[in-house]
Amino acid sequence: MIIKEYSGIFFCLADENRNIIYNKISKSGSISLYPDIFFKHPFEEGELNAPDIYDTAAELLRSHGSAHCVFLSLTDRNALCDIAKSIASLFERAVHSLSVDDDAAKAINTLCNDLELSATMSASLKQIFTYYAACGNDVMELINDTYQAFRLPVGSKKEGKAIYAGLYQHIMD
Amino acid sequence: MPDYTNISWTDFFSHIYIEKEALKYDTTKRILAMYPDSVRIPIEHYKDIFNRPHQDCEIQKKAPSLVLAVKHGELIYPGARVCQDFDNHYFYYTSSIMNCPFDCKYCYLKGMYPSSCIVVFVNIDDIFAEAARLCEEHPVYLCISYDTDILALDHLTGFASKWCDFVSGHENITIEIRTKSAFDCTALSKYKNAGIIMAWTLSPEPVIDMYELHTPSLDARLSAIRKAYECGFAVRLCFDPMIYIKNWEKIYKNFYEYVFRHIDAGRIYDASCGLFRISASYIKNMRRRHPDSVSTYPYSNINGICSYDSRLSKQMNDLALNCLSEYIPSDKIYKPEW
Repeated sequence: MIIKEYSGIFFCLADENRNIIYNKISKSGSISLYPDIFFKHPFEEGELNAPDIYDTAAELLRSHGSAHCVFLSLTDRNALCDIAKSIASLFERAVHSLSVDDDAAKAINTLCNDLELSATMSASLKQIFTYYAACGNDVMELINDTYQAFRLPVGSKKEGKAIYAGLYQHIMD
Repeated sequence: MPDYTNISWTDFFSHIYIEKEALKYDTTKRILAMYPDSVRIPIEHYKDIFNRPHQDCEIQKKAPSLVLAVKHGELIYPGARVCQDFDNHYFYYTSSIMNCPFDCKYCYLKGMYPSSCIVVFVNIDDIFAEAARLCEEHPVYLCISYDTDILALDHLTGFASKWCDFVSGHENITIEIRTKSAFDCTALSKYKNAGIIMAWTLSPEPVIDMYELHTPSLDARLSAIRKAYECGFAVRLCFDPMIYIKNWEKIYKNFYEYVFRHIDAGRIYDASCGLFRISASYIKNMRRRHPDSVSTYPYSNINGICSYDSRLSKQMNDLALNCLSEYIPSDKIYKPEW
């Protein structure tokens, strides 16, 4: 079996003698894996009975999830890249979540430190920023505005709490 | 050479997984006949599909698969504490179907189930037998459409019709069929005098647009409600869950006015209202799987149940009760404890 990855889609190529997508991979009579097939494709579907492939397939599914693994036989290996791009594009359009990215997460941590917040209040601030992002707002812009409006780091915990309360009210109202 | 650059989602139920044990049931045969082009994959147990690790429920919602299975073990469960019992002491629910064709962003199923595949338990007669046994012990109040929308799937399973038929032959049972569908109850009107409560979940149009994907519009639901009471069914209105959104006061006030301009309040059996509330473990799963403005909201956790903080909860509950009380007598309005 050949494993190839393109655009975050993992392909397990069983052989190159025919065109078939496998919806079931069996090890023995009653032990099987079932990769999800979400996309329309021009191939036949079938079961792959291959004890030697099963463990590798199981590991791949465990690591990358059933949506991102495709098990197939394909006569034209060069087509894998095109198939992967199409699947990845379909997924990107479908799952558009507005979340706090890595840069914003670091900026929130720095803000929590500069406000001298307790662990509980830091967790609360992180949660409301996550909510703020999920509502389609720009987290970095709000953090930058906060730094412009106040002299940070704060001089006292009391001052940090007051700024936290203002941010909470701004986001939740 | 095939064109691989224009890949699209598969159709609804393009793949049907069938437990070997389920093959002999009439419901299985009927459903399979409805989807002659689907790929049929035999399985040993529905959990082989439903409980797989690392499923992507968001993607599964785009192209859901169907699983036909046989339910074993407990078939009817005691009602959960986050659900309203409507003053029924013997309050139960049952899940003849798991998951729903609709995609409500706030739905607890997103936190409860590891998969968006729809599982139909085809041995519904076994659930009827259990319900009949319970009826002999005491009165039974049974909710049959909690973990799914049984009316929205009735064209597929026929289960709602079968339940109506079952209840019409038993005196000691009342069932609640909760839905967001635009199901036309006229076809079931012969069961209007049985112990059946048709219950519609209603939300303001902005909430439907934002959070209740693929569900019928408010107008479509109101039309279905009118048909249901006109053909004699007891109709319950469920203003539950109330969701916090920007301008919620104005939106919900207008919503109640709109509903009762189009519904004859005098023909409503009873009504319920309640805020969005969910178990802490489910919201944790939802935040991981579906980080959106419902799941990431900073809820207050009281005894393992997450909902809005006490100040906001009071404001929202007061508004809902005040609005509802203008149309429905207070002894017909039910609300949860929080």
